[in-house]
Amino acid sequence: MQSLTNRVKPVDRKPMTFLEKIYLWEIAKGMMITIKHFFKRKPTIKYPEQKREFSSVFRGLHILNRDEQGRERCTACGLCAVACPAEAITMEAAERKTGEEHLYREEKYAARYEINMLRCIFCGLCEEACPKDAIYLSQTFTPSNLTRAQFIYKKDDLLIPDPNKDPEQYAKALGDRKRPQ
Amino acid sequence: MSDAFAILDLLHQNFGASTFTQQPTVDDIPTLWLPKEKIISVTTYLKTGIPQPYNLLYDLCGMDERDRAGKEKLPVKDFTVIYHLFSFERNSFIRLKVALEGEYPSTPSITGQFKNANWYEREVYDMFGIKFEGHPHLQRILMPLTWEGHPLRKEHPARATEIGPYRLLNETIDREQNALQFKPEEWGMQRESDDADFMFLNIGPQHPGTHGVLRIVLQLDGEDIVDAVPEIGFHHRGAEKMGERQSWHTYIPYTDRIDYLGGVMNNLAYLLAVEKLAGIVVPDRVKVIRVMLCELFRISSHLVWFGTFAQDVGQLSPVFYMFTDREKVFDIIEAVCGGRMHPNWFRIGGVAQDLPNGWDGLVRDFVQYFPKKIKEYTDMVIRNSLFKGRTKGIGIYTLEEAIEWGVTGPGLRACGYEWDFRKKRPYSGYEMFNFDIPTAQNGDCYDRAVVRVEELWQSLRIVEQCLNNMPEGSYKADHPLTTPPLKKYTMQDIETLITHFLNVSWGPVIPAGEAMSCIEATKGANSYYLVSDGNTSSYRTRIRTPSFPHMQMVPYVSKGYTVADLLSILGSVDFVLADIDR
Repeated sequence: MQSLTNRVKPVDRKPMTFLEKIYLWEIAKGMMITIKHFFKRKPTIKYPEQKREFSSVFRGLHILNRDEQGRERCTACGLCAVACPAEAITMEAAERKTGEEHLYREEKYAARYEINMLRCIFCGLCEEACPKDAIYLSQTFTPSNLTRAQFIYKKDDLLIPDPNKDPEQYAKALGDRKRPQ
Repeated sequence: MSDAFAILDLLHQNFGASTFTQQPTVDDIPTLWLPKEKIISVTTYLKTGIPQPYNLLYDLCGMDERDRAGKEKLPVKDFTVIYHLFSFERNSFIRLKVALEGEYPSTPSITGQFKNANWYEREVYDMFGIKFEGHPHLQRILMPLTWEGHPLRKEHPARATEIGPYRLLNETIDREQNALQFKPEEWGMQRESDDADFMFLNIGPQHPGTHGVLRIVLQLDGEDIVDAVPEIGFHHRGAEKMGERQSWHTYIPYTDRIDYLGGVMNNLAYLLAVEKLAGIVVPDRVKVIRVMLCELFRISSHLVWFGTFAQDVGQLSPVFYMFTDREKVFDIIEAVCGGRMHPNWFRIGGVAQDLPNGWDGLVRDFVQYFPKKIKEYTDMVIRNSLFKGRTKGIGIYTLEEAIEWGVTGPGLRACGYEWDFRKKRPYSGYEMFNFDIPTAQNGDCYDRAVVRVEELWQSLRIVEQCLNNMPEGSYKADHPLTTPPLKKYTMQDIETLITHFLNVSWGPVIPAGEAMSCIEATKGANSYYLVSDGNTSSYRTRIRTPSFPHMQMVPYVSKGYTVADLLSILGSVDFVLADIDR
């Protein structure tokens, strides 16, 4: 066939040699390759004793964030829920009462906040939508569970530990992520 | 591409100017409306009556026009059947539209002109209830035979929750079981010949050789395949219907899952069409980032094909080594995108974030590491004489047959035709890169394999060029429809906060119009044909995937071979069931 441009690259196709036609030799060669791989470094790790590192932008399990004083950042605006392509997020808003200023950063907060991890596709659009930096996807995945109901994560399952009460766990949950401004 | 409209003069001369109504579109594809009585003569003329013919039926789809806003300006009726033809020699598309009136209209079938129209017309019938007169076997193709209604009609519910809970009653079980029973007579097959009883063998839906939920019913004479009927649709999720429900922005994660081995390549095909509609021109940095990620995904997808193909023909170890290397590609992808198989990382007018610090080190390590692995795998698989014995001379098709059946991608190049959309109709800045188009001559399973292995080298070359020449600049276009906009334009004061709320909740409003993208995906030509009526979600999303026509060709190619050869053929075609069924 006539070439349309000079960029064509025909691939090589040699006829089989005599040695190749004796299939037994190929089987021995194949075995050699497999045996060589016995002595190479293992590409697998021994989970769960050993855990792999995730990249800092990895989109895993959701975390509901707090500010430095330990107040919940979420103001229950519902943007994450409408941004969610899989419709996995539901919430109920409540008004902050006097005396609760140390618990909630804004005047309105999420009284109930649920993510159905079986619906979630971990696309990260909720994090992109959040105007308060209140939700982000952390560097770990959702653990397996026995019942469907247990995959519906409540607010308590999602909230990051309080930085004042438990700074160690807080730092761990924050991971490589920069502290929110 | 300047002479794309030259065909109009020829058509006007032959059929009279009054036959056609031209519709302007933003993608520079000549779009003509014509009466349904003329469709056969016009397609015949375009295929055989002109020099440099339109010999590829690229896509055929339907559309429900009844709710479309602003349709008064167009010659539309209730339904439309849309034909996309492509001419290799002219390097141009033409789009023909036939307006149909009535609740369940009918139109002449073009299966006499194009062999691959068969499945496309069945799909349109299945999705819209439009009948094709003269079709050899007009039966549902994606939905179960017992399904009520036609999903892509606007009155059909989009969510399962709108239909009510599903109940499997005893009589339903019998009906469903009966519908799955294969009846050879329906397909014009004999149960016996003069000297033999044929055996009908199910391969799949659960069979490792089918690479997914695919059922192929084989008509066998001893070990030889007399005929085959692929049954698809087990993986059908209604991705096109979801496109009409999701906003332009929140549809991006769904595209990831069409060809799930192609990752961001699906995002790209979709976004090129959206960006054409919106009139967004992306900065060079975005183009190069996108090309780099796409080529990494091409490598990863070809590695999966390579390993599983070797496994199909009996080599069990390579797949493990290749998956290990694929993991190395995924390490880069995870560091850049945050996801692995479903990165959901491209955005309208750009990408989600800038490249992370240290990305170049990761890519450089891979570029240095990978060549010796490709050599090792070539020695292990391609040079292996057992592999050659199983694939050489098996599943041959000629170039003419390939075009007739709508084959694109490596399968077309293995027939000796040097056609690559990245080169011939460059998109997303592919014209800036140096790479070759690998071709082979014989069009058998072995040649398709060799072409793909050579493509690994070429992809690696492109990745290396991206690495060395990554332009500076913004990772998002400076355009009002860029979604989400750059951070500095959002959430500063109440004005920008309102914009942000509207953008996230309703999403961007893409101007009314029609556009089709066309990219060289991992398996062949992938297109999104989007119709916007000026709303926050698309009016019609049509996904043209390469695997669909490739699968349609399998019975034709496998006739006369044995069952063991069929697995070589299936492996060499490299399809993904999610890509076929959408």
